[in-house]
Amino acid sequence: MTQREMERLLARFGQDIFAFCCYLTGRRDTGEELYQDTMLKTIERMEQIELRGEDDEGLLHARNYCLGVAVRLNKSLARKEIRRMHPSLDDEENGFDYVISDPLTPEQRLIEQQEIQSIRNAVRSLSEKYREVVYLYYYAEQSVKEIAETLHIPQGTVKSRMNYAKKVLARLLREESL
Amino acid sequence: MIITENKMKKAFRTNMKPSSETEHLLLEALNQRAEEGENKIIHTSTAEIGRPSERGGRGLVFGLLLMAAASVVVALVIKGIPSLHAPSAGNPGPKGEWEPVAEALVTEETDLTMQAPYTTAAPENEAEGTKETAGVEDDQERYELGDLTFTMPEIWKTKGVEIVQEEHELKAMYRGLQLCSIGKYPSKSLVGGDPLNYCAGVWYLDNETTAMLFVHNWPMKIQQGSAAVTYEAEGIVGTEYTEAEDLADILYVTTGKEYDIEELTKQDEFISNEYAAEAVTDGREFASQVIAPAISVDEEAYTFRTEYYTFTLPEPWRASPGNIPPLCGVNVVTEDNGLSIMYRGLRLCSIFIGDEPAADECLSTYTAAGWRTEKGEHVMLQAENWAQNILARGIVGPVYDENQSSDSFYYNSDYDLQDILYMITGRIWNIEEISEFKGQAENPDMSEVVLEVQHAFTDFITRQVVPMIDVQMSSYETDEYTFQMPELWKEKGASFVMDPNGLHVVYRGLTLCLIRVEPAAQVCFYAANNDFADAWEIEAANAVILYENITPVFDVWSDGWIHSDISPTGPAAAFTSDEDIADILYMYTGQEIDVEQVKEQAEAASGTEIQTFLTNAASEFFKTSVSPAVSVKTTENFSTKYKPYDPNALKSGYLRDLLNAEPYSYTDLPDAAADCQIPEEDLHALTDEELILTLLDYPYDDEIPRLNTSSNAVRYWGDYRVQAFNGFRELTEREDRDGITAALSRCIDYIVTEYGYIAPRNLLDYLVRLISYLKGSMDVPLPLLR
Repeated sequence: MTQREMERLLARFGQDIFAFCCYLTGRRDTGEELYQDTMLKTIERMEQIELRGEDDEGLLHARNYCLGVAVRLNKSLARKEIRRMHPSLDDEENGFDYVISDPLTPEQRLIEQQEIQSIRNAVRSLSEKYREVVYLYYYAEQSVKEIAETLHIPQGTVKSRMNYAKKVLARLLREESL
Repeated sequence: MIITENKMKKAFRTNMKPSSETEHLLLEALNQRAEEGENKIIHTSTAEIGRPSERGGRGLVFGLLLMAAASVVVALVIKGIPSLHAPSAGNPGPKGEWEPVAEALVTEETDLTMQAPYTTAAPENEAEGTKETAGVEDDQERYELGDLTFTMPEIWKTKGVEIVQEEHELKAMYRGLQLCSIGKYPSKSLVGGDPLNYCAGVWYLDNETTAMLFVHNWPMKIQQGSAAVTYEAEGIVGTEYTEAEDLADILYVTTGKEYDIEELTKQDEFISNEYAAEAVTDGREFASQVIAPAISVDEEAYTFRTEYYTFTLPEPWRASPGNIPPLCGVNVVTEDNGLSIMYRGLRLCSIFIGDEPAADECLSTYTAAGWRTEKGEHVMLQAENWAQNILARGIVGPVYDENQSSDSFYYNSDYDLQDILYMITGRIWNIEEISEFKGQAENPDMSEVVLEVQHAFTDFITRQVVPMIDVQMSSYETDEYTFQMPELWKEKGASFVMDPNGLHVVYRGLTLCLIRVEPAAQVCFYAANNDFADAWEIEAANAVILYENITPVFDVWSDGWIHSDISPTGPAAAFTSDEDIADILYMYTGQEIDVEQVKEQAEAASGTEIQTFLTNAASEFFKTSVSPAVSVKTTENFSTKYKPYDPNALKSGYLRDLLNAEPYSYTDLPDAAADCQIPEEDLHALTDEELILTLLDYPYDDEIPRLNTSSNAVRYWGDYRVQAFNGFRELTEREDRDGITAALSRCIDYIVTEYGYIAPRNLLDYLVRLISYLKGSMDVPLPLLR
């Protein structure tokens, strides 16, 4: 990957990767640290990274590569920082924002915001290995194959983790709505 | 709350951006990287740039360390220095362009702090010049023992070593001496042997059988036998080799090294000095790095299936040609309630059916994972924490040996500990380091290392062993139906894969059947198709539809082999051998098929009989064994009304005629797209139903509108008029999609009833697809979110 391609990656997908790091760590501040480490490491290795595909497709692969780096670094950091602060259940405290559909009435907006908060909290309550898969699938919109490549696990494992995560999420959200 | 895929995706939408300091930092780092080049970046202090993170100093130091670590590892990877993950003959290594760097990321700390022993003997090390790789060339001699293949090492080939093939054994012979034997043994056999004839590798052939490599330790025999070698052939004592030239020759084929004949001439000195001891070590290395890598088995042999789960050996637990450790592969023992994975008499872990994990676990056993099957049994993974033994006492044991009931023993040499540590951490530890931390669990100065070893153990188990366990569920339940895996399929190890297309039952990468929930009207179109097996009507005008994927059956009679398939688990291999084809046909028909006969008929182009036989057998099997395995949760069996296998018994004559109707076409199509447009004000004023009825009057040709699933939008192929028609645009933009979906369903009924014979099948198909689209983009419950 050339310097120019790296710059394009930052411009095109930097925000994506950053938000993924925030979700992964559960907090905006720690997410920013993880994002820095991820991108520094990617910059350090950019000559070894070969873009697969032209233009956006190639950049998308590079983005997926960065997501994989972020996942591994996050594990590594989490091991080192045993006392790492746990994220709060309040997105505002964690420094997260919402993107609400438009146009909606104030009431609909409130309902949608509550739903988003519920879903995010339910996902946060999953253990790391399930959380990773959920973020990669729903946030990064990766396919099962891509997730398997990113996490270095078999596709079957991705599916079983996703299946389990969805079951738990369904239960949690059902309980909450009751 | 109803959670849809869309809601899930929407929940993570965000406008969060990295801070401007971070962006600045990264651009600076990028610029410096470009200016200073690859080597200098290690010294590019991020401190100079300044990191705005809250963690301050730690972040800076970590960043520097990380960069330094990364550079060293990248250098290792680029230069091809053998590392833990260096590809070897038996381990082709990671695939894909990202892999080398990504692998380095995972192992960076290990690679920096640990040095693999025996690196001088690695096959890739050309400087040694005395080792041969087992690289497979076309002209190499291969010998088969069941699923195991032995490729003659080059060094033996040039010396004229001969392989004697027996029913259950391959023997390598040289000048009347047996160098090694590769034989089949029951899987419960304990890896054993003695120093003069030791086991140097174990490979799995199936659940019952393992293959073992036993190497005759001729260097040791020379050392112990007054520098003489005697061999027996057919009970008769043969030649005794005492000449130095003979001994050097024998040592060469058993160690791969050329020995100094002068040195060997002074036989007593050879025996007493370290030279002989080295020869023994060299012999072991030769066995592990030249002979063992020459043995390969089918990957499938590493997979073990039980009633409740499938377990595939993680890479470090396989016989690892080219690397020491491990000394040999693990031994998988089938026990009453699961599998035990044994290594040199030690139990590494057990995967068994048991109770839920207890809250308190003793230190020596680590309950790493548990799964609950659909039937409610718990599959447990318990690993033995031998690391604790090493850390606390500096020894490992007692060693389990069912054949030696009384004398259990311990491993205490550093090399043994290194070997065992590799098997429980997946990492190679330095001998010197092991001697420092063994028995030091209570030493406060060693607490960090002790923790590191413990973490390495748990990390390995949870990250490399747990993912290899695939718990089979014998049934799969959704909101709409339950599918009970047919016994025949279950026994053979078929598994479930749920993806957006529905529930697949997969065997060897092939989809056996697919179950989907679709609009009931879809049944009309698939009733006469070969891949349609059965359907059940459920609520909301939907149906649970069972598709049989009998394409492989067609493959067999048309081509004589089974084509590769794209299944939810990825591309499958093509199956050409009679055994494979018979195995797969068994899954589709429930019958043992004579593949040879099928192939003959296919080749003779007179396969009509066999074609009829196979398709009938497959249909019958699906009717009798698969279809009854589906139980829907609501309402009646759709097939009782429509009898998909018997078009004559369809509910109405309209439907039957519809299925047989020629594609409808207009002969008098308007020329310009503009002619088809509905005035906008009229368009908006139409009710959903009126709009759809208006669309029905649209002049269609044979090219039907299709859904573009990748962009999740309706696109109209082949008919620019349709593409330009504002009626469709209006339909897809209307908000009340539930209402439209219901209206579309009513319209389908209307078409079928009123239009009857002349109903355009392509339009009907389109409307069904449109319903799927509208439902898919709206409020379809997540297929897996149950």
